Amino acid sequence: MNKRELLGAISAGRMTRRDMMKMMSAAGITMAVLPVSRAKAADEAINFTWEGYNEPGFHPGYIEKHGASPEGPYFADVGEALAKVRSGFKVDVVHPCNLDLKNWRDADVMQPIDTSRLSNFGNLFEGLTKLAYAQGDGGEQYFIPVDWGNTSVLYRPDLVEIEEESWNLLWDERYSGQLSMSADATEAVAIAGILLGAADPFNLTDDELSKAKDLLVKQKSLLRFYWDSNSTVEQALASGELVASTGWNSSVVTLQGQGVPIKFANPKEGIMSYCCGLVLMKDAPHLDKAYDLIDAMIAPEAGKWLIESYGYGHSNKKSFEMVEDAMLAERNLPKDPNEFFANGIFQRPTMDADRLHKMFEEVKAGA
Amino acid sequence: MTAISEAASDQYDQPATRRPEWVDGLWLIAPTLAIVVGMMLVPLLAIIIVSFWTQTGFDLEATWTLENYALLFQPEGKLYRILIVKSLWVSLVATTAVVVLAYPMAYFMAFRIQRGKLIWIILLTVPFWTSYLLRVFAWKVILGFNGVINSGLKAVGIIGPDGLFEKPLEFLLYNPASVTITLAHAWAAYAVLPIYVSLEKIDRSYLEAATDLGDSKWKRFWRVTFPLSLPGTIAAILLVFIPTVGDYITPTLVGGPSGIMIGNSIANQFIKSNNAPLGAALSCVMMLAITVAVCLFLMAIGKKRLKGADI
Repeated sequence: MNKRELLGAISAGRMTRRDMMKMMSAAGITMAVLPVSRAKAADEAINFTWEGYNEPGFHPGYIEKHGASPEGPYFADVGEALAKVRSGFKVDVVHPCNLDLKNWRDADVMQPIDTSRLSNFGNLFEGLTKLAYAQGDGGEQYFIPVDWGNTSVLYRPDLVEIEEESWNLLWDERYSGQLSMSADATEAVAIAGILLGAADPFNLTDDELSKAKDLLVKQKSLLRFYWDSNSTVEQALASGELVASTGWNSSVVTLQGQGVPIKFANPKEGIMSYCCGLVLMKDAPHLDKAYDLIDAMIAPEAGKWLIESYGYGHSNKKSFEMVEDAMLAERNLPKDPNEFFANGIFQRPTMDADRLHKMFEEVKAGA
Repeated sequence: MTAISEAASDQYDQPATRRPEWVDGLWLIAPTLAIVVGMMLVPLLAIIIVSFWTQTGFDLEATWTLENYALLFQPEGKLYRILIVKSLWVSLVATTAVVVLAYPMAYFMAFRIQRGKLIWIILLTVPFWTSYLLRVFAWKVILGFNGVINSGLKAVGIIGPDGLFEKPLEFLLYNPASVTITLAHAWAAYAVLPIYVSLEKIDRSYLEAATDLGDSKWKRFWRVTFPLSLPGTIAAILLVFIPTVGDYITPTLVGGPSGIMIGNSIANQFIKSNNAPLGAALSCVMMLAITVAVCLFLMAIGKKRLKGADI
């Protein structure tokens, strides 16, 4: 039956119910079996990463070679990312931080990275490539460091009165309803651990963990929300909805660029520092392009861009030679990450992340 | 004569030799049945089975245990019990608000609109052509710190140095009330349509008879219109109440720390806490709680009405 006949039959009322059903089911089957043609972008490497971490500046070398950016699905926190990958989300590389590496190794989702395929690997800081759990038991490389920076308290000096900078600001009852905290369990629990003065804030003892829980429960009623994207925090701090929140270096650069009075605290208990990087998934669908992406992200040009526009440190020594000293001083970045990490509390892999997730979940679910 | 009747019997099978009617019916519903079994029944069974397992590290331990359920009834499970009760309460308030708002709209469409009813129905559903997520986000924009309401109040001087409030109103967003408001709007169409249909079906001569027999407008409504519209109203209540209890995205976006519901907790068990069995057990308990709540509601309405309601 051609189109004209069909329309004629309908308008003349010659179409029976049965004919109509046949037509409908034919249409339905056709729709269901039509091949789903995906866009060309699907052929690029899939970079499962943080919000704002798939910008062209991160991987200029990749764009030069392949003419497009990789696909960049975002995750809100690393626990969520691991859950998605484990439940069958096929990606090439993911961007966890050294805090989470033990957990990722346990989950058995990564494959070792052949460092001889990375032209820039030799220029990386050795202190970063040999972080705990960055390498397997046989010395094989699982984690390629990319960026390093701080987690601390972002606050509005014009709206907050404090005598000295402390993590305590996030528990200050004077600013009830104007504070925010990361929704990431490992980071939130670590902050409570630092405030408690725990010997290892990333691996609390049972006693410390229950004290940390009390602290976080106490904090909950003071919070406006738990944030899961840095743009949410930046907007809320800019409008004055929040006066203080946990955050990262890039938010300082962004907000200062907008002319918002903002300070990144150097808390008396110690500023938290971390190193994040790339891991390669076992069943990576675009293995060769994934290697190109990793190599592009640790290239010196990518590092220069990262330092200048996001304010993070980079894993490639050469990138520091390309940035002016004044810029480094303004960004508070020493040329050696070890010096940077020595100034604060450097994150260590959490041995049992489930325990923290469970505890933080109980805090959030509590009445 | 005989030839004709024989020909007729060839054409139309005798009732005795015909396939029973329900077999034909089975073919008709087969696609739907396949979807229901594949997309509903199998996952539901999987949830029930997993809820009796335990999680060790990244693996599921497939030995039968009541551990997950036991946890929910022990002191440590108190927060989940509170969360379930809270979710039922938020849904109940939202459902009440939806029905109270939807009823006059449906009444207006059924009794006051004479021509172009279709246009009104389409107009009513226009906001629902956008995605659910977008509607929730819209409420975030309306209720937010710099949102429509706060900027409006600022513009007329109620918020400001000389106004009634010094700072923008913060209680509008990130609490159970904002979840309730958002749910009440997001589900409105699901309530208006069934109520409208049952109002539309009412035989107008009953209303004339009631007036003729001396009922005032108000009395006529309560004695004739409202009881006859109950089937639609009950359907609306169930249509809104049941799905909203387990809602997850609304509290995530507008709930803030105090506005979370049981759906968030379940999602967290599956995603972040890496404890699928506990999440599954929580889902089962939630479904059970909803069933009990709905049964109580239907019992309160009464069996007789239920029969008449024809749902």
